[in-house]
Amino acid sequence: MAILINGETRAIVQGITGKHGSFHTRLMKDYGTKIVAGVTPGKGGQQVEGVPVFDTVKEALHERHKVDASIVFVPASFAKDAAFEAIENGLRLVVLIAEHIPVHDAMEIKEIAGRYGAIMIGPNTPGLISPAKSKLGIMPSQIFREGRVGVISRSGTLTNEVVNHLTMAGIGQSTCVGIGGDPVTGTSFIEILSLFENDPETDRVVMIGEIGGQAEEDAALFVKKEMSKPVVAYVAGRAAPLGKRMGHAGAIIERGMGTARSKVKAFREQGIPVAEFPWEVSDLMSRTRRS
Amino acid sequence: MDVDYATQSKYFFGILEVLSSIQCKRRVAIRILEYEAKAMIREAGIDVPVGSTVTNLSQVQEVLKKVGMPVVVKPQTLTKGRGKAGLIRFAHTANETERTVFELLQSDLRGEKVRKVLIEEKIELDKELYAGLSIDRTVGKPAIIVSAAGGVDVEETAAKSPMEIISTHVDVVRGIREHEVRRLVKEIGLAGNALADFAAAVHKLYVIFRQLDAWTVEVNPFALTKDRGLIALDAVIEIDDDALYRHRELQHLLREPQESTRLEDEARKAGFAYVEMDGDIGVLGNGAGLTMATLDIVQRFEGQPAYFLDIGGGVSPEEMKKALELALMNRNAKSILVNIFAGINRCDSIANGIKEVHKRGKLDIPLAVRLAGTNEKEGRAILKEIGIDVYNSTIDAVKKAVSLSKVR
Repeated sequence: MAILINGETRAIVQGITGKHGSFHTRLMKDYGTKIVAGVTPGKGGQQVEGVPVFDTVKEALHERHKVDASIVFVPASFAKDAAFEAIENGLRLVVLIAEHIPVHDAMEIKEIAGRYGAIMIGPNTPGLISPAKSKLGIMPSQIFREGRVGVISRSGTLTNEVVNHLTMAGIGQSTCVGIGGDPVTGTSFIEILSLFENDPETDRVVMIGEIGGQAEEDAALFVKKEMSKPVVAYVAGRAAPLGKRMGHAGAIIERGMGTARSKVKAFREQGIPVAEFPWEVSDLMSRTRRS
Repeated sequence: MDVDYATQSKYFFGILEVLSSIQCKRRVAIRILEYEAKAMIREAGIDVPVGSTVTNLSQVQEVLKKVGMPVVVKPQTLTKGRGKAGLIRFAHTANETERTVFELLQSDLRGEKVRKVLIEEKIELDKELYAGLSIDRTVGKPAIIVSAAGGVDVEETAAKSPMEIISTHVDVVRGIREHEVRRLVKEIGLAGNALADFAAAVHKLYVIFRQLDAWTVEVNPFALTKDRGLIALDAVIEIDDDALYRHRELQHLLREPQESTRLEDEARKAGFAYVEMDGDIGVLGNGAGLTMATLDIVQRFEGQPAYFLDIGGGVSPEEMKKALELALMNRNAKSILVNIFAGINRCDSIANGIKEVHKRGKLDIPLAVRLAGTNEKEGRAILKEIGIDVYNSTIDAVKKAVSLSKVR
């Protein structure tokens, strides 16, 4: 089963004719993802990697039945409309890869997704992958291995680093979800945690956090209250200089909120083991197996 | 469709979070100066004090003719905390005003030089109110925050007496009606004209917040006056950098953010996140998360990072070349650690960027390179050609970078 996507998931690619869209369509298809159509306004009738391209999502859904999801590769300035198009045509899962989507757009997409009961992943996400089943994203697939550990992360490249260590330690993954690195994302740690809690193919969960915001602190409370499955956390950014802005996170760090230290503390207070470095996650995982 | 509007939230931590209004990695809010923010809110129909800015003493008399006496004299800085630093002054005569302007133009606020001073009429007021719009990232919605305790640090109010602050989330697609704002501001104890006036003003602030793609629109305080209704005595507007492309009218406001060094500015213009630190190992990575984790690991192996440079995703060879050239401009680094785990990036593009810099003979600080992920093999081959070793794991690359930094 995994969560959100599996071997049966049928997806379209919006922005399929672009540089990233076409390149990753090939990689996703190679991985076994069922990419059934592409959409690029004005490019209807073409083919990309053997996938038929349509001008609109509506046409794509009409021609290719039973579509579940869309992965959106269009640039940030067009992403809002593309996301609306997917959601308002009834797709239940929309993955927004682009970074630099204006935050007001992200809020609007999130609101519309909520109204339609759609799940929005991103923006600024590597996407998600259920190893050996399906991938809707841009992550390097060779590092993932099928298994029973769920992974949730705010950071794409950090996920790669941690998953690489997990796989090398022989710990496979059920689904890895990048919720996105932006301040406003479609789904939170908590929503994905609860999906993993209810997934019979997931035994344990790794949460990869980052400095800034409150999401990890909130998730720690949720884990304590609602999760029966063991959770291990990792937070990057201990060496981030206080009072300096890593991007803009400094504004929070100055207040002592959202620091790596406060997040580690929040996890430990709720009894969640925290890895100090990426390679320690698999060690901690092995220990949770025994308990 | 069931429209869930304006859900009340008075949770103390929620408010603190909203007040910090904050962005994370690679997000830059463009803050504008007080007088520019005031011009924007005046255009939206909110009253502001009569005033004008000066950049030198010779302009003061002219401004005073328009403004009258007494006046408030305020330095225009992007750095916060003017009041606490004692830089907001009052003057009762023309001489006093000139002297004050002279002093302020010599001063700085935590390193930000004062270049412009705003001279405004002093407003006689009955009461001070607070109104702020921001984004609550925990729920991904705009939040309206109002308080009858204006004129003071609202974060302190939130910490000491959270009940004095009322906030609500807004359905960003539907927006908020003026009558809903009236209901909200009634809760802070306003009545009569003040109630209707304040609600109308807060509603206008929300419209500005949406129109400008703002992170924050804040008026602290709004002065409630006997004869002139509400007047905004101060205004803060922060605009989402990522939305500037659709605000041609704001392009002129683009300026260097405070607290940044020359290299940090250059990096920002080139689209990289770059933060200088005190050590001697340059850290260049893709993605804020991996790059930050790399800093942690460098410290773990007894190295000290000289900077954090996140090149982001989808980087072309030209962009990689630019990033590396920028890294090479920081002469505190004795070695540079390049840590790439490519997803949407491609290792061959990264390697080609490095090769370009190498070809021009500009690679005069030793590199420790780790490549993994998309097109890893191709990337390795390119670097092998020019004699650069590539590591497979972060740890090995970090160890190499640390040892290189100790050699020279």
